[in-house]
Amino acid sequence: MTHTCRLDTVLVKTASRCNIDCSYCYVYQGPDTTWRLQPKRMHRETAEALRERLVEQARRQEAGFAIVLHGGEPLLLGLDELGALLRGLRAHLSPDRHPISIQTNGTLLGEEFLDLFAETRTSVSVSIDGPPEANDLARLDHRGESTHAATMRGIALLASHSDSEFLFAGTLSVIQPAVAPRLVYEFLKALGTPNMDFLLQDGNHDRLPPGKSGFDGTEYGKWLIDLLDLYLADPSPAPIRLVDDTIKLCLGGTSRKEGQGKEQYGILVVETNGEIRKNDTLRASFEGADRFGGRWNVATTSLSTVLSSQEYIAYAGMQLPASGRCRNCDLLDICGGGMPLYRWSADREYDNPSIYCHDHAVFIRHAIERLHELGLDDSLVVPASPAHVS
Amino acid sequence: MDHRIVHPTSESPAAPDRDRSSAEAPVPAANHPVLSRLMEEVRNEQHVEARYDRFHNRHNRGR
Repeated sequence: MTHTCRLDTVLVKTASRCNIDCSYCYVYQGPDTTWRLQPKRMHRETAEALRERLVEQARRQEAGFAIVLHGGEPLLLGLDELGALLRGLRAHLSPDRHPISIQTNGTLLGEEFLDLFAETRTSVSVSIDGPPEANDLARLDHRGESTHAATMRGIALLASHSDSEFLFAGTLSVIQPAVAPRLVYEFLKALGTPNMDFLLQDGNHDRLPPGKSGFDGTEYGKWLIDLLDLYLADPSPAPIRLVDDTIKLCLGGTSRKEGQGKEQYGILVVETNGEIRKNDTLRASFEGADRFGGRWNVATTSLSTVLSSQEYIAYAGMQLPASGRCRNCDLLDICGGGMPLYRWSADREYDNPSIYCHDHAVFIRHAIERLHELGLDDSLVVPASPAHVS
Repeated sequence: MDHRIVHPTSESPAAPDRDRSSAEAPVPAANHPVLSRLMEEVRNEQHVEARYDRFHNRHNRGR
């Protein structure tokens, strides 16, 4: 491990509510209910304190870091307040060292938002799970109706903006294992997405992810295998971050995101009330799982104080799995033990392999096999004949 | 207006070929559209002082 106190990404919860009601949402449908205590939107004074802390951190660390506007639905902050936040950040932080991006469901996107994002060099990633038969399984509005058409309208605006080559960063899709990856891949590619990424559904040893038969099941792994084969057979492929990073790790490279590989990533989350928290995906484990005991807030505490604290170092160290099964696995350098939220059980806490352990294993072994077939034997840093996970 | 919104057509990939014994000879990695790009990225990572692009694309987390 090479890194403990460097900030790589800060996720900013500009709004703590969402205009749609996805059934799998780790924020509003999981065991954590602390969002109810948050202001619905970040107030101007909190945004100004946040800006001061980010500028302060930018002066303290040589490396750049990413700023991601997130929610809930971040556009619920509104055009005026988003404009004040983004223009305030861009007055001090340049796009080359401090990329700003927004993760949105796309339903509220309009020309004014897009013009603001173009002006402030804020790129946009849209959450969509694929065609309606995939998207409508979970991504419904508060009346239980499909959000697909509204998201597609937003993507059409984004893709047709005069600055779309910068603005349109990509799509993010949660895997629906019951829907064939061919349908999803072809649909997203046809949207013109410049970059796809896929997420495993939330779950753990006490609450199995949807579509997963048990710890030994490989439903998601097989889905990813089919996706990989489609991708490698495509003469004009649209990049898939999850697959690309798996292949790069097999070739001795690094992943661009936490949850794969052996790098540590410095991730902090700032809530709408200014509270500084751990990676918000942890809240899928239990109530308050992403809270620091210190309850730090941007109004009173610098990010460097948090990043150098023992509690932060312990949190960052969670990425390395504690389970003996993981530590003895020949694929650990590739899978990295997966995201900590997937390791949770009430009796052993995070001291488990990922609930997706077997999915990771079959997928990575298949990727290795394909790379061998394609003549990359000399470039691979993984075993030529990998052993099975014991 | 939505010139980038098109329906899947001729550029759709071939089906996953579970029995690749009958498939065409694989494209050499150096010419493969995915692998050649990724090999170049890995080479770049090894030749720059700072870790390559590690914070980019992090926004693709979340919903």
